[in-house]
Amino acid sequence: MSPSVSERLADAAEHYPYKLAEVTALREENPPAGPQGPGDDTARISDYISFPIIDASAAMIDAQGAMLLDPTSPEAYAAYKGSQESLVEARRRHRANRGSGPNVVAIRGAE
Amino acid sequence: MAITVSGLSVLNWIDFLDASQLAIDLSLASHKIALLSNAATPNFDTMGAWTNANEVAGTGWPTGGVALSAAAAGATSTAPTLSISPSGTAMYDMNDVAVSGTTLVNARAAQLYADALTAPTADPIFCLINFLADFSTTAGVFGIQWPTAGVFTLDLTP
Repeated sequence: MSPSVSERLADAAEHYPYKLAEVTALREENPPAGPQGPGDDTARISDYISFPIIDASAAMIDAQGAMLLDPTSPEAYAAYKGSQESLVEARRRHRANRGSGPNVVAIRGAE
Repeated sequence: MAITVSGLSVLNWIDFLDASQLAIDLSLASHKIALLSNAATPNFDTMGAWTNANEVAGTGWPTGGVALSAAAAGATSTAPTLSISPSGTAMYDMNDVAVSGTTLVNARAAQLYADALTAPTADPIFCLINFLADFSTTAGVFGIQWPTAGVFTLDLTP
């Protein structure tokens, strides 16, 4: 069975609350984030996440938690769905130049 | 044998939707993403419970995989979503995976499974993503940049 609402909100493996301050600070620093160690700048944190995605993720997770606590509320439901749409849109803008398949950012190993 | 395609577990998706009541909730961040080597031989018709057969794990990426709640940059949640995108299509998506400090060898695919579920199938797999090549890291970030179409889509108006 799926976890109960209280179980889910208290689950250490879940995402409440979103680590907004931590990831915002990380994104502001924008350190190298390549596959070959801390100094590998073939990729940066900004390749993976944008400030709008960070803010929209926090909003969605908050709205999701509120909706779980009050599932019969049309307002909570609408807020959750709206926040999802905002997060989806933020991702779409961030991925505007990506192709049709997932891009695994790591050094290819031996074939 | 090898991994040749991406796909969803047909067996489990039927159980999600029929009287088996395998209760998948795709919004859960407690689902895990585990990595596979190309020695795996996935059969989407019989793919049920996740096992560690042919698993790729290492420093920074434990056996059993990483919870979606900590698989994005800064060990934050990938914030899974299920939405209409485009019209007539359900899209499962999440923030890009970016797990730092990993040392991994020859990851060929990712499996997503519901770690919190125990019955009627424990740890049911719901998705396999084929990377199309082997990927390795050395004390670095293992990243998956999802495409604009998300992790997967269900075209409900084909």
